[in-house]
Parts: sequence; C-alpha cells; structure tokens
Amino acid sequence: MVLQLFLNGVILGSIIALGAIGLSLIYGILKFGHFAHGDLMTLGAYFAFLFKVQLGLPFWLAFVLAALLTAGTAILLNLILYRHLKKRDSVIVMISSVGAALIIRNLVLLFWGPQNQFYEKAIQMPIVLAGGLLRIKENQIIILVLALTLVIAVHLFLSKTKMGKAMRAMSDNIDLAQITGINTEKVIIWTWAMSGVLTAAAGILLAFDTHLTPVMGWNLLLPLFAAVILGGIGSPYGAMFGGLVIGISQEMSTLIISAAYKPAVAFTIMILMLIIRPSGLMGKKV
Amino acid sequence: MLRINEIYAGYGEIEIIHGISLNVEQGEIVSIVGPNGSGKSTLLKSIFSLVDIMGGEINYLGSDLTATATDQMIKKGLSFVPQTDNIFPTLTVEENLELGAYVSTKKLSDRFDLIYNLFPPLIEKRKKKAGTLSGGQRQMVAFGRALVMEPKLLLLDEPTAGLAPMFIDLILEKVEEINKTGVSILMVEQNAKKALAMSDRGYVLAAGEKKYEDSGRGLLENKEVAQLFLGG
Repeated sequence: MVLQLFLNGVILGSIIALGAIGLSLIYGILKFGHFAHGDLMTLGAYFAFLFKVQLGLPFWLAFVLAALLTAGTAILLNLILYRHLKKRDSVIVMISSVGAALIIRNLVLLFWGPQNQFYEKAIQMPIVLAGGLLRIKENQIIILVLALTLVIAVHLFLSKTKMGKAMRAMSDNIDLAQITGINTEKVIIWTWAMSGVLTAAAGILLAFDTHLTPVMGWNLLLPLFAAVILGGIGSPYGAMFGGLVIGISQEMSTLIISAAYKPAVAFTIMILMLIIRPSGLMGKKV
Repeated sequence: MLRINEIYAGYGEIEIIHGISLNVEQGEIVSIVGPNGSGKSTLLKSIFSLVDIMGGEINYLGSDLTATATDQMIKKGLSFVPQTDNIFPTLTVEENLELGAYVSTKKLSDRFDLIYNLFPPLIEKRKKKAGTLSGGQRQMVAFGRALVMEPKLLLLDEPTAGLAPMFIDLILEKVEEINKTGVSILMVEQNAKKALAMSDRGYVLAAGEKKYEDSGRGLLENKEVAQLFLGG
C-alpha cells in the first residue's frame, strides 16, 4: 500500500514538476505569478486530443504538435498581453493572467465541451509487480519515461546551452544580465516557449493517466505554485524537486486523512514553507 | 577615449546630474569622488545607459553611447562592474565568467586562465556557486566577468564597498594591476584618499555638479578639497 502510494506520488509529482519548471522560470524572469499556467496545461492536453483522437494522428506526433502549439500560444499571450503590461505593476500582469486563464478555459469548453474526454477508451490491465504489492499501468510507465526524459532535456538545456545559462542568469539578476549584453527580450520569448512545451507535456501526461476535463489544469494550479515556492521561486531545479515532494506528499497523505483533502496538503506545505523559509529549499535569499 | 560633454541624467522626472563634463584618456586611472548622494554612481551609470539621459553627449572611441545598444558597447571594449548584486549567485564561478563572454561568438576559455592568474582564489572555487563565496571573492568574480571580453575601458562602481579592510587594499591593488595590462579605468570610490593616490586624475562631485578637477595628487594636496571632502 505504502509502496503503491509512493509510486502514484512519483507519477503525479513528475507531472507537477513539468508544469512547475516553467512557472518558476516565468516568476524568476518576469516577476509575476502566471495564473494561466494551469489552463495552458489544459489547452495542451486538448490540443493533443484534437490531433490524436479527432484527427487520428499517432500519439507521439500529437504530443509534439500539441507541445509546439501550446508554446506558440504562450508566446502569443506574452506578445499581446503581458509584454505591454510589464512596464506597469506586476500585480496588474498577474491579474491579467487570471483573465487569460478564464479565456483559455472557456475556449476549451466552447470547442470540446464540459464532459470528460479520453485519449483511448480501451481498459488497460495493470502490470503486477513485487508479488502483488505494486500495480502499474503501461500508460504510467510511459508517463514516467517521458517525464524523466523531459526533465533531463531541461537540465541539459539549462546547464549546457548559452540560452539556458542566459535564462538562469536572468532569473538570478536581471540588471546584471542586461549589463552583460544578454538580449533579454529574446530570453523572455525562449522562456515562454520552453514553459509552453513543458506545461503542455504535463497536461498531456495527466490526461494520459486519467482523462481530460476543462478544469484539470486549474485544479492543479495550487500544487504547481506550492512546488515553485517549496523549491524556491525562480529556481528550475527547485521546482522539479518541489513537484516531486508535493506529488508524493499528496498521495501518501491518504494513508492518514481522506483523499478529499489532498489539495489541502499542498496548501499546508506551501504555507509552512512561506513561514519557515520563504526563499524555498533551493532559491536565493530574499 | 571617453568624452562626456555636459551630461544631464537621473531617474524619470528627477534630475540628479546637472551638466557634468568628464574625459578619460587611453591608459589612465580616473577616479570620481564626493560625498554620499553627490551623483557619482549616477554619472557612472549614465555612461552605460542604466539611467535616463536628459541631455548632453557621451562619446566613446568616436561613437555616441547614448544611441548604442549594450551588446555593442561591450563589443567595443566597454565593461561595467556594478556596486552591488554584481554576480549571478546561483550560477557557478565558471558560468559567471562564461556569461561575461555572452556577446562573443567564441568561448574565450583561454581568457579564463588570465583571470584565474589574476585572482588565484577563484581556481578551486570554479565549480562552486558564486553566491556561496565571501564578499572579497564575489568581487573577484564580478571583476572576472567584466574582464573576459578584454575591455579597453573598465567602469567600476565603488569596487571596495562593503568589503573587509584586508580586501580593500587587495582589490585596489588588482585595479592597478589590471590598468598595467593596458585597460583604462574609470571608478567611483568611497575611499577617496586611497583612490586619488592611485589615480592619474580625479573629479570631485557635490550635489550633481563637478566641483574640482585635477590630477590625483593635485586633489589630495588641495587644502579646500581636503577640508570639504576628504575629512581634513
């Protein structure tokens, strides 16, 4: 039972981690909480639904196309909305992202309806491991492999490429990044693109594990923010770690309390962290 | 090589620098001193377009800096070390140096050895996060980042601010050492006496205006300057 919950936690945690990396980088670089992140995740999942189910493309192709389209949407949001408001107050940008979230969610409702949707209808028989202690579906193995691959790709991008280092530098110290001659506008576009790809991946994997609903991303927004704060705002590595911790704690908590209180676990961790160590586990000091 | 002509600068509506002219020639160390709030740092920042320019000209090696993008300034050999927050704390020492070469298409790894020679304590810290270093070592990283691109003119904003006394002399010695390699220096410094003693020329600012201008020695020996600005 414990082992099973841990495994479920790792699966949920890696999905949260994917979404949280982008949220954390956006917070670090643009200094605002992007409240449309969850709904961008939903949109990515529905884009994949469009390509896979409605247009009949193979899963991998639907995944790639949906990720690219979501990245494009994120860049577009920045171009028509956030970029103009950036010169004002960051609270204004944050509130505008709540507006963007509502628009995206209602567009999803308009095009795909309120009912649950599935990538595939066939019932999967879980693989039984460890003498019946652990059950894992084939889909969940794919989720873990894809999430791990993406996290490694993000790590290589951030630590080895010039653009990745510029992104971390900008999240660390924007003024110095400008003095160093970093083209900050270009870095911002790349940040949105990367966040879009990762958040779409998170949405697709979440839907792949369960199903699609128009509120799936919005419901995950709180755990996303909790992961970002736990790891340290602006730290992509902190967000990965924070995502795993939040996912595992949420699932393991059902040993003691009702599953209905899962979101409260993320909320409690977030509040405790803000009180005890507001800079997060891997963030710079505030 | 740098000519500032009647510059007016500040933040938004607030004008802090009221028409100051200044120049730096090839190979010189030039210091800007003056009391707190006299506009020293603002003047230095105006060269790098980090504040709002309201009037005047800044000419560097024949080009108008007020109309030059930051990456172009760096490519032309201009480098700026801010007073505070002058490193990327969660990046390693080596990554900080790499970012110094951001605008270059080459990796400039051979320049790193020169910087490690200048600041040997950084060698064993190269894989450490810059934020974990001591104040003096952070300053070395900040200098290193600014030196990677082989600047011709280095702008230093209070390089010794907040440092322990043992590091103040060390950093100022390094400034002289850097200057001997052919890099011109324009610095703002709180330790006015020490700064003027090592400078070819100096400017004394007060309330956003230039009050005195002379050789470093000349300013140190000027009784009026000593009484008003150097604490007697």
